[in-house]
Amino acid sequence: MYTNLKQIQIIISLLKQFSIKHIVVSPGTRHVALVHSIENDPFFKCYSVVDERSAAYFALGLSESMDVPVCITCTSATASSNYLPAIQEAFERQIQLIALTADRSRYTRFHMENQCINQVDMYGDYVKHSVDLPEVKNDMDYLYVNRSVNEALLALNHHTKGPIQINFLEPLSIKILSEFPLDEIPQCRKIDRLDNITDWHQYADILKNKKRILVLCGGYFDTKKQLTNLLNDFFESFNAVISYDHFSNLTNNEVFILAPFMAEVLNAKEINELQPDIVISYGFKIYSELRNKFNNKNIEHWHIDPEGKVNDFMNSLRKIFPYTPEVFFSNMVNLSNIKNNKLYYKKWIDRLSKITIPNLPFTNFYVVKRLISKLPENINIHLSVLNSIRLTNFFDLPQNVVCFGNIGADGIDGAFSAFLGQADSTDRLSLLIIGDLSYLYDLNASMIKMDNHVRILVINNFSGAEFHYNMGVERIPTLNKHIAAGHSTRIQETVHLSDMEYLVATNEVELENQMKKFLSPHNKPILFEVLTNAISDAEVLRKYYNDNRILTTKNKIRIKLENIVGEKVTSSLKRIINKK
Amino acid sequence: MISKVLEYYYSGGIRHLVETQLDSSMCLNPDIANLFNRVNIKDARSATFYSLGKAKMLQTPVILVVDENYLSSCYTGLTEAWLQRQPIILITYGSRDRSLAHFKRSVDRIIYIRDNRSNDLINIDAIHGPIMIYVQDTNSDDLKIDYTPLLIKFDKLLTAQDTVYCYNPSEQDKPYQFLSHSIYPEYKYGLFSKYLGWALGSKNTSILCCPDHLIQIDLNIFNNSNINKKVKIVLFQTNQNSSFDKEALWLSNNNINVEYYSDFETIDYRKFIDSDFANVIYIENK
Repeated sequence: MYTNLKQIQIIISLLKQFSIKHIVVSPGTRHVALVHSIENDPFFKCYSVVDERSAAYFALGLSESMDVPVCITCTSATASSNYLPAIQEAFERQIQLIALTADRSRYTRFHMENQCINQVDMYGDYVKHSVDLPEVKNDMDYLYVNRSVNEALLALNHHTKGPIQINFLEPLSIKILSEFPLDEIPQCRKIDRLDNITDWHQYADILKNKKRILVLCGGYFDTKKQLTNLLNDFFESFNAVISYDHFSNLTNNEVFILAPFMAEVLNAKEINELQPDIVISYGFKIYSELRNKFNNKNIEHWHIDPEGKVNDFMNSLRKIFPYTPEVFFSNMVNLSNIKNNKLYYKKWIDRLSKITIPNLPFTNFYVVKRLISKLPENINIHLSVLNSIRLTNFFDLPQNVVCFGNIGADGIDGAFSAFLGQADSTDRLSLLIIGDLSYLYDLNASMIKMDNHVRILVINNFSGAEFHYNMGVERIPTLNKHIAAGHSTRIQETVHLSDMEYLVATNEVELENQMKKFLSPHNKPILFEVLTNAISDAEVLRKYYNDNRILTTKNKIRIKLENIVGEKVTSSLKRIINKK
Repeated sequence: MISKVLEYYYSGGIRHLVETQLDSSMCLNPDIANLFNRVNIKDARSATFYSLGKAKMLQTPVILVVDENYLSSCYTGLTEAWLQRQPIILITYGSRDRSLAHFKRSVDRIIYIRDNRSNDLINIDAIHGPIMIYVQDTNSDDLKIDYTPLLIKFDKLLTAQDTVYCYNPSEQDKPYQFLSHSIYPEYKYGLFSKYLGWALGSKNTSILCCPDHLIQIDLNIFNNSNINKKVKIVLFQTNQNSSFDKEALWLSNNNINVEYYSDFETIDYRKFIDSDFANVIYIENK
């Protein structure tokens, strides 16, 4: 008989699916839902050791002698602190221990609550992975706990072996803790990391039977540059659509879809129509928000990552291929005997063909569009943050351009320095596209010695333009005061810090005149400051998106209502209708 | 020690070294540092991002050396490098009077290099993201024990599948028939608990040899229903004036047979290994 507590059910289901059966148990109450569920389950072998410190050492010995992961579980508070000595040793000597620590009453911790200490990440550096599980009260809790336990168990033997901690919150009610109404444990999603694949047929066979394969290409750079051809072959060999952004560093190919823009304009009905059967992804980060359009829909997801990291951004990850994308796609291509019927691809192309770029006034959008149209081939680019990334990804780049950006954490800081490290490692023309705030943030980098092939385009709109785009002075009249950090600084004032030549443009004609010099070889690095206005920059961007959105009937009604009765009343009405 | 770390990674093929905010006490040995392409960047944050750009473009690890006092400025750049999976090897040095725990989220590993332990360094093939190497000094003054007379006896009776665990041995590894495992002082806690796990989890013979005083920090594990005839322990008296009577009584009360000997020749090793009881041999220091 098993507990009704879902976080415990998930732990038990995954321990079984990962074939982890040895559990050293110390006595107590808080973990009773787990202990009683497993002690009568013949799959598990339980050992009773009272002192948790000895129990953990005993488990360490068991694990080492059998070379299998061994669980230790105990009640809350100092009980779990007793695990640290063995956990520390297990980490240093690479032994697989799983500390299943029961926790209680988060909201009263340190306020005279009994047997309650801070158990979250309590072993610090001495575990390979630590997760803290909430009580499961809704679907998102369930997905989070399911992923977290998978992630922790996958860490046990990832690259090296070592201990992990799974801390799980338990209710205070003894009645709930000690109820065991279930005859069986529901099986939950297991994420597999497919180390050492010897036979790729089974995976190719799965893909051959799919009608809609969506490949999400993320940030990736490999000097061998084989991936473009492999992805093209994959596109021809399966019913696939390949979506990418500039950080994918793929050479332009007419069948690939430059995706970031699409994520902004698709409506709910279109997203349903374009829903894939399976998503295959790779790269350290997928910049395109397409990654979030199909999440929480239980769409099978495979992620390719040479390090085998868990990247469950769709909440439906099933398989991790710990290989380079080149290895994965070449294996798939070699084992396919079908051709892409292109039905799925045509759906995407049909929607893409409806995108139009209107005539633009002199804005940051215009500047980026003109600059990219003039870029030579074989250069390096670094995109700083937000608008410089967003706007550049509206347009195709010339052939053989290497494009980097700090999209890991998407921070405004450090782009200038990272760009100089990138530029110092090549003889090619190296271009940084950056906004005024980002440039000023990292101004110390201007003291670093620069090569003559360095080119920096600073679009100075005297403010954080992003905040004018996503909020605007209509919503927050004091926006420029602190949130967007409005200023009147000209980048020209900083140029003397370095040995850069300075160019400036304030309109279309000056931009065209200076661009040729900016992009040509020169005996000095060049900084090109282009002055625009943050408010009109934001307006043009919003209009561009709106013009390319196709409204559903529902949306049209909502907009009409908003115009008549206002946003607040419309939202209230929407809530009432949705409830019914 | 920093020179040793630099030498190690130079021999592994790394050629790029970024220096930032080095205190005078941490000047790098020029004979070694000059082997690298060196860049000195004043701002530690800028230096970290610079290293990120370089590592990514060149697709090779880049070494960043910074004094412990200025590590906090490396936090943002390391975080971005961790997310982008870029191999920055940050080397730092200091008195370790500040916590480094928060860096765990922005580097794959923090490696503490103690005296003569440069083998803790990660081979560059295993570096996939940023790591931090902290150079520091430590020492242990625990007495070493020469187990050779005992091990020679066991060598005649044990097979290649059997294991003898020796705590802090003075002798170098010798080619015995059986598997020999050394346990060092930093792992002295829970030695008997671990040993019970080793012994009970193994199908073969496992013997533990260690000084007697260690039992005082792991007594309660003997109150254990899993103990059986697989438990074979040899204890060495480390202090002539110390008594083992109380501990021996505790072991006996838990169904462990304790026998006293004063020299290695009088011990019946075959009986010790084959007996149907959990056995402890106590060797007195005469």
